[in-house]
Amino acid sequence: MKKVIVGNHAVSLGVKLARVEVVSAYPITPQTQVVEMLSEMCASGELAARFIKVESEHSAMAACCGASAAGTRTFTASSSQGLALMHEMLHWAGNGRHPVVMANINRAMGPGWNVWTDQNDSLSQRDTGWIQLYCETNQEVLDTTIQAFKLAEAVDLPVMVILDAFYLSHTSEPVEIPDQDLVDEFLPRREARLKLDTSDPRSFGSLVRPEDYMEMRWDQQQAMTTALRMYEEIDADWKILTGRRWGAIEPYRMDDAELVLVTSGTVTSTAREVIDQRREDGEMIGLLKVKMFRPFPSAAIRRALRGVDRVAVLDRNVSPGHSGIFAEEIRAALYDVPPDDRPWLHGYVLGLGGRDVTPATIEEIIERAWAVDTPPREDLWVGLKT
Amino acid sequence: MRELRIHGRGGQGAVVASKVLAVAVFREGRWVQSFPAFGVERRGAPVTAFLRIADAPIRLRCEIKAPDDLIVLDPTLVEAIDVASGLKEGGGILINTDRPPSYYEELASRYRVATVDASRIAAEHGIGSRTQPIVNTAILGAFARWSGLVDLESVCGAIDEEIAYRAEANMEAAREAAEALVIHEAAPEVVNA
Amino acid sequence: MPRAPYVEPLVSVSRGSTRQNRTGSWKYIRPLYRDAVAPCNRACPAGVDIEGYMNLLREGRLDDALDLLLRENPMPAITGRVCHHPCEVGCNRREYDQAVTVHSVERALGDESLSRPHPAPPPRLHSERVAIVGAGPAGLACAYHLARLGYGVTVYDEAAEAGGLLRQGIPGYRLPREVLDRQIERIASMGVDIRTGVRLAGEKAQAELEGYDAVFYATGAHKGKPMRVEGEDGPGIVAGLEFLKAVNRGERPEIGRRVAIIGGGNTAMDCARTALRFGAEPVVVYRRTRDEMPAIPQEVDEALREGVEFVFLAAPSGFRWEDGRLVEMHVTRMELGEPDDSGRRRPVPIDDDGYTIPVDTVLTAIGEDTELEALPWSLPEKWGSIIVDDFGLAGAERVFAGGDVAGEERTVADALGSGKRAAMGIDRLFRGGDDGGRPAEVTDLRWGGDGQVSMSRWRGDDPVRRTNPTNQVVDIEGLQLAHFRREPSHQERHRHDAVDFSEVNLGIDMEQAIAEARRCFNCGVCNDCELCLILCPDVAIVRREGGGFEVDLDHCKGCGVCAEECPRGAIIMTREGL
Repeated sequence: MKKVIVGNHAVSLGVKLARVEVVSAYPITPQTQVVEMLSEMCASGELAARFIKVESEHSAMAACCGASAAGTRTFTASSSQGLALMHEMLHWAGNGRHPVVMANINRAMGPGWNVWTDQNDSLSQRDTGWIQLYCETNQEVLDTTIQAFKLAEAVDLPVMVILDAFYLSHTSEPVEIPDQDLVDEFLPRREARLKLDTSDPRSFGSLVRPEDYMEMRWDQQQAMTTALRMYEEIDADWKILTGRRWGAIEPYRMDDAELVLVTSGTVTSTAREVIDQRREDGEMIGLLKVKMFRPFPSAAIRRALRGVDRVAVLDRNVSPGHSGIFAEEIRAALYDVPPDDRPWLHGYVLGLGGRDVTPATIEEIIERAWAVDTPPREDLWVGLKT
Repeated sequence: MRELRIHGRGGQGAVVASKVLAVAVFREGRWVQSFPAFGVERRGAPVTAFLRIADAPIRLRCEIKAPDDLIVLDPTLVEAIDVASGLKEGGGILINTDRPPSYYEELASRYRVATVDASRIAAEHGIGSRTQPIVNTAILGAFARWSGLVDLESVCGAIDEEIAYRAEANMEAAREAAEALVIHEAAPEVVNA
Repeated sequence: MPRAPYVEPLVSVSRGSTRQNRTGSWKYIRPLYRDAVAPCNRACPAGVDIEGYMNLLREGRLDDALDLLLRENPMPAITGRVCHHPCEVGCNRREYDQAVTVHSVERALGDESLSRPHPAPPPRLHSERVAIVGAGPAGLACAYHLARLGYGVTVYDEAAEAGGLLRQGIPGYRLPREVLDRQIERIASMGVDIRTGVRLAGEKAQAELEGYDAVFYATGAHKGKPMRVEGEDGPGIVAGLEFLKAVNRGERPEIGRRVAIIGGGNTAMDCARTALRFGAEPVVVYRRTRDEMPAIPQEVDEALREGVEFVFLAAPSGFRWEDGRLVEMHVTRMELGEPDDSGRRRPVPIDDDGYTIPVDTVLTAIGEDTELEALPWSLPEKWGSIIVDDFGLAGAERVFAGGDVAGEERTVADALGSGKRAAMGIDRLFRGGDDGGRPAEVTDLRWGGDGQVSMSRWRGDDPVRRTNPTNQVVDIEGLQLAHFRREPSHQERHRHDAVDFSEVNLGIDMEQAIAEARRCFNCGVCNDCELCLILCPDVAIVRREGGGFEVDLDHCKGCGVCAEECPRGAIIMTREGL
């Protein structure tokens, strides 16, 4: 069934279809609708889940870790400062290998206080051991939410489903909502491999000595590697059932492209529009969408960009003192490409704090990327007021 | 692609109007995208909402700066803000007012102006309060007839789908407003229909 | 479908059970399950284990709930209707959202008990026989408890039918006669011999009572207090209670159209609403304000709704007759001054001319006095009340007293409590302390130390499982309210179709009563909610055989989470046993 819904409700419906058993979350703009709808579903019995009310995001994630450790399918949602407040517990979920799924609505970090979209909140949680999946459309949001549970439970790692504030969270567009039977087939009830058992009480998260700690982290690293492959399998299964797949990365009109824009989130859509026009004008230009940020699909990105002349990475985020974060990661990935085949990489920082990214913004980036004839030494900021 | 902007004040239902219109268009098999002006809303403050309509999936994900048509839920906004800002030359403006389109002489010289007294119609159907009727559904009925972009019955179907409280009265109001629409007779040549 | 390789994630989970780690050695305090007393139980003048029967009803154990209630209260169908329910004022839930509507649950249970066949009479265990003078609530309660204790009981009453003020003073629209009759019948069916139409006074009384081993006096208070206003004995001015008695005998006294009722208690409300039912236009004249009225608030609400008028801050100061007919009452305006002994602000006359109210009849309802001169023995008294000790013993050997004739609080529930206390006193007189460990201290019998006595405690056969019981009362501070959900109480339905003598308050049904029992916090008493079991971070709470929980002291490290989180204050942290 197709319905016109906002991105936040795409998350809620995905969570419902996944037959989540425990939800614990704390409201924050622009995530609130996700939780509102879920709490209504829990109250009405439409979703047979326990909704745990908490006093902060830190507690929400703590409750999720506990519920997940008890073997339940668990969900939360947050944004910006709320996600930052979870930070300690994000590590707990990651290192504790609790397959919690979270929706994070990308919102800028304050101050200056700002409720608009920006990827710095989720990217700041890069090293907490969470899988991160960035979405472009409300359909992708719903599909990814369901996929996320399958992926999380397959590798015992938490997954963050990420969508842009307002451009997705509050924008209504048609979304195909899969049947429950279909989702049930794709995503059976969770069978936890290791869970709390009151009849055989064990200590979870207890002291680990230097002799053992590294092995624990190595196992987590291996699970991340598995997740890369596992996502492709899960995505392929999803395509069999629904006809849709999203890919950890998605090359778009990259045949013989000399300039490739690398994007994530909703900027991708607007860029596709511009690229289509330029292609019609004969310009050798393409696009690479990065959906999966952790684990980082370095090999796939290398394969996609090898031999391209110029790569422009569009970052709606910045690591102060360095560069846009996607640009940084892709630059590192491309270092393994032999120098002859290695593209020039241009980093562009744009759209911070929800500044609108229009076709004109993309055009400007393309013009600048064509214009230079030496690799740029640092990232360029687009749309700065002078 | 057709781009619309809806002006209202917080509490008048501009955002819901954009959603209902989106659903109406979607019911006719086209692609839509609707969203509020992103930000912080307050009751009574000017609010805008947007709508894109197309025959293919919509990929633009940015604000609408140059709309094709406007819907104005509150006539006082015409004086308070530059409602026509960015409106394409020859674009349409549908205003909720008891005045005739000719009253808006300046706007009518550049744009296609139509009016409908949606406040009265909404009040008569008991939608919102008598002093603060909620006009969003009524004016969509008038918009359907005026723009030809969407069928009146699709709007009514969308109201049924989206409005939980007294959908029937809202549908009646929409139908009545379609009848009550007043179109400016000396409309300028449509430039980019 | 992809098959994930079945690999357990490598995480920090202990290999062995955490049971190996005897964290119990860390603690310096430990949790102790101990039952405390709910404030409703302490507040009940009849000494009912309200919390206890609510808990049983919550579990759907209707028979057990009825049994527990009927151990303490012989007439729940009546108190459920006419008691002023101080339990609800005491209820901790009142401060959270709304008090549990105890009286309506009690009524539903009472009606349920009356809908069943009367139980077989209790076995007569002892040879002693007791005479009870007065078949009102105190006398009937004493008779009931004595019969259940195994004694022979005879109740005398001068009226034609038993019930005392329940029958004579309370109108049928509040307490239907069928309910009263059936409730008294139930008491009589326990082997209690009720002899009505017998006036025992003076020497005749002594002769009649000689043959009994003990006597309980509960003759009530029937004489209307004087207003101390000139002319109050004149025509048209009638004691309110006499008016009600006449109506309850089936008479229809001539009262005219304009009827003033003096007073603010339940008798005043009964007079006003009864007068209204005879087509009069009653005006209640009360010297304080609505807030100070001693009547049950719901009764005042009903009177207002039915159209009774109220004049506050006014007291009668004179009357005028024309041709021998009362035509006018003069009243003095009052204002509220400093609080008096009762804690209510004392009404003080305003120095002006006052005003007059046209009246045909004045009904006085400012309280009643006892008539001690009819007693066969002279007993020590104070301000018209017989002085009794904690067990109802009056100032003569084998003579006990209770109810309005000996009580300060003249309510039905207090009368029931005093009857029960005297039954214990009489049992103690005959059996002494040698009948198996009955508590010697009356405070041990009283709920919370200063509430009413508990018959279960006296008999030592409390059917409720008690864990380390204390007599401490749990207040709202002792509860963990976060575990409760706000939920409105179940209110009784009232019949508003006609103002007549059939019952106005329709009560709640059993389903609602059970729902209301679920609202009860069960203050101070473990009701097996399992929260401690769930929340203990050391899995150190274990189920106890036969219900309840205990602490595994080898693993409890004394963190106190259970005591902090217990919703009803049934766990404390203590050094006991360490």
